[in-house]
Amino acid sequence: MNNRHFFMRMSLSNLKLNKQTYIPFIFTSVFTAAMFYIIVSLSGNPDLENTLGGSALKSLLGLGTWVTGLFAFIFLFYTFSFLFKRRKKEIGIYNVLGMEKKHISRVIAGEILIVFLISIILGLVIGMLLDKLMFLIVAKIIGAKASMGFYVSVEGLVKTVLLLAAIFILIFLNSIRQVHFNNPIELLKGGNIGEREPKAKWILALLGIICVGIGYYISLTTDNIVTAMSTFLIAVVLVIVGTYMLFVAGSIAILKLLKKNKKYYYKSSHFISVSGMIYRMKQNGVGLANICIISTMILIMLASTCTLWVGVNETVDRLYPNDVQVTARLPQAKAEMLFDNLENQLKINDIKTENVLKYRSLEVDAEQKGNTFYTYGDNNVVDSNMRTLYFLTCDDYNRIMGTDINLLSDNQVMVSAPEKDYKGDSISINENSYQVIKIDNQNLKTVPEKGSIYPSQFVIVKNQQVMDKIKNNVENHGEGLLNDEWNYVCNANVTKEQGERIIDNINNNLSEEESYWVNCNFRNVSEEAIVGMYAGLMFVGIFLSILFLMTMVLIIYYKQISEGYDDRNRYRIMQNVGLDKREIKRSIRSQVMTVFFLPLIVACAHVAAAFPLIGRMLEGFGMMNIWLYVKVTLLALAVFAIFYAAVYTLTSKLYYKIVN
Amino acid sequence: MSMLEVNNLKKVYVTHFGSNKVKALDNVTFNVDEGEFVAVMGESGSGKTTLLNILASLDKPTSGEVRLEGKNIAMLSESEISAFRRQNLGFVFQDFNLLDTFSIRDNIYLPLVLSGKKLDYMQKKLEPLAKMLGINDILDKFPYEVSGGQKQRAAVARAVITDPKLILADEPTGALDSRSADELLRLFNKINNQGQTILMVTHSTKAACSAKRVMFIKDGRVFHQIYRGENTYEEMYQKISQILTLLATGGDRDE
Repeated sequence: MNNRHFFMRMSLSNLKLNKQTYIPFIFTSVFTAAMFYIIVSLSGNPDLENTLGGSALKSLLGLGTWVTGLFAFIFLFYTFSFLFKRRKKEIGIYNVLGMEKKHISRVIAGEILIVFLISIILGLVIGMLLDKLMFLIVAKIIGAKASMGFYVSVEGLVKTVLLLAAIFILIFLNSIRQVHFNNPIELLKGGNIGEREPKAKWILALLGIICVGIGYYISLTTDNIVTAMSTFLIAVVLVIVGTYMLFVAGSIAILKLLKKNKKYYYKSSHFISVSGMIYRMKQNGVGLANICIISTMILIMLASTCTLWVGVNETVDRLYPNDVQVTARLPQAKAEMLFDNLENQLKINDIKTENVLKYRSLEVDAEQKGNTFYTYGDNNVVDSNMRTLYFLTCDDYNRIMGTDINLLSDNQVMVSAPEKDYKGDSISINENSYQVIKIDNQNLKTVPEKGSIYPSQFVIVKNQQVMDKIKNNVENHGEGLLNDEWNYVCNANVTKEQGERIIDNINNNLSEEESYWVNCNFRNVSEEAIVGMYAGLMFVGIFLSILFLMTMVLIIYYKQISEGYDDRNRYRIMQNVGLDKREIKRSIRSQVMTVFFLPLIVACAHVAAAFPLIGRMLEGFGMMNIWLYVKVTLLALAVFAIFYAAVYTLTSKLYYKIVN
Repeated sequence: MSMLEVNNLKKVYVTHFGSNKVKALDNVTFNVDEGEFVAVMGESGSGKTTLLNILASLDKPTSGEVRLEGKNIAMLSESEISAFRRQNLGFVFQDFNLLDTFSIRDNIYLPLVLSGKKLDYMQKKLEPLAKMLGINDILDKFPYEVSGGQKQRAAVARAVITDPKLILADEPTGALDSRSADELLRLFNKINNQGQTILMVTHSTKAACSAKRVMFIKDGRVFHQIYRGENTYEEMYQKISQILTLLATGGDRDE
């Protein structure tokens, strides 16, 4: 009668017997379940949606859901199959003792079921508690008032249960497969079959170098944000693939070279570690590459999102140098009506305005070839020679700057290029050439850049006729972006609420088509949207970093345990042959150090190489202060390295314990 | 003076809660002269392994002393022990204890590399040894690629290459088929004839027959000794078998 109980009891006692490996696994899956629940719940939280910038954050979290789910899947599966390999011998014994594979499968099913239930229950409880906490933190960062109600995401519950169930079913099937396709003797031998010394795969190693090299090259040669966006993915894939090849094949190739150098190899300090490392790299190349890639992701994610957040005020200053910024692509009469209406609104709200400027500008995208700018041709959007040109008249320039410059002829222009210095003596717009009069680049600061994705340049022409001539010329060529705009800028203390009201009022006075051509920006209104978005980005960055970090810690933990068991016998033999404990410890340390700090060093190289690319992408978010990014990256690196070292120290203690 | 002097050696194991004391060795005394080949026999649990571990400086005696060329092993500090072991002792184990991560050549070099010897020196040492042991062809193979007999010969090479004062062998034929076992014993005799002192723990009467002296241990004491002397192989085999029968049937004879 008690068959079922018997199997269940066996499952339970197996869990207890293998607690050293099962507890970390359960911990992992509980944490994974909790994380997954939180991210699903946050992305569906109605309170979050109602906050400013919430919708951007929501779609980001939606993306995060996929990443987390995929990661959870790979990681739990990988961990369990590792765990299971260690138990082959035990299963072989059951088999020899007369349990059928069917019965063993039942015991394993019981074990997996128990682990699943623990994970799902604990995971969801912890998830729900942390969810509330996380939400309060996000809301706090964004500056929204979060309601304190307890919110349970049904979607989160369902999705988490489904995800975990799917993972555990696959884990179960894989374990059954291993039990069924092995005979008892093989199971008994387990991992003890002598391993072949790995061969050096030079071609693979070379390919790895080439992949990483190309990835680096792409990053280092990207000087344009549009290019950055489009090549980022290619570079990332190349570097990831290359990293795997390097760790798996390159490391062994290097060690083989060291081994060939007999003078080097037959030294007591190198002898043991080189030969040991060759085997270690064979087993752990993939794991180390994982650690390396995860470290790189964490560092880049943390550094870039935190940089955006820390530099948010600077970014807002750059994008909105003026409190009020209105541009209208409308006929002059219409535009003046609009500006009158705006001034009226400001007056009604009792807002004092300062430094009011009204001017006309012409915005043109062009490709630079030497001193000539072409507004037509094969204008590829990813071309790094693309520039945005803003044309102003000399009169407007003098009014804005308070200067009194006279351009003598229609053929004279002044050029100011804040981002990419323009050094030519002449400048051509398509076929028309102009003489360049030098001015100080800093002077044009008060004229707002419009946050173009290309580096921008200001060209000051003699008068409206010259500007119209250019406009006609560009229009005749018929391609590319051309915006003839009326601008209104001023400094005024407009609160967010006032700003929103004024924007509504202005839009109400315009037809739908007209309002499409009008762009009203109040600094305080836009600021909150940007702050919200960047805070959200940072939150997602930190959230995913924690997730990756946890994964990394567990990979390291399992690696240390498995290596400890593998190496235990080796060190016992060496002790018998006359290697003393101190030497053993030294040899272990040098091996473990290399193995664990190699990924960190390579990750640093990746981060450094990604620098230009990430820098350009940050420019895309309006963040131009590259030094801030440098500082934040270094800080993130320092924190990460300390954390990494701590994990290493703790886990290597475990390793020593097993080895001794 | 004997090369190895074992005086009043005692080893008492105390169980976890200290309530039970198990005497593994009870007042063991014997000497081994230079150039001797001694086999130690005894049933499972008689204390042979404990004795070997203490001789190998892997374990410490509860009381008594072990002197190798007059130096008391038990008095060595932890840091001296490994160097002592490396310089003075060679080991041959039942399960070979070769490292899978090293080729046969590197396995043999291991103790020399640990002592910081130069490559030329190691090569010069290995050359005649490999010839004598017949392992020239397998030097660049890995342990998992060669047979048990070959592995054990490689292990012997590793034990001998440091010119140890004493070779300790723990059931060296235990994992070998009879042909490989015979071969190994012939090798032991050969290196013994070249002056190498050997102490071997074994279960196998055949293995013990090749020794110059056989020492029997029972319940942690030296029970009896016989010398090969002028005895023929068959006579020796007979004698050993008789004593083993006596041991098994519970004879109580002391020297």
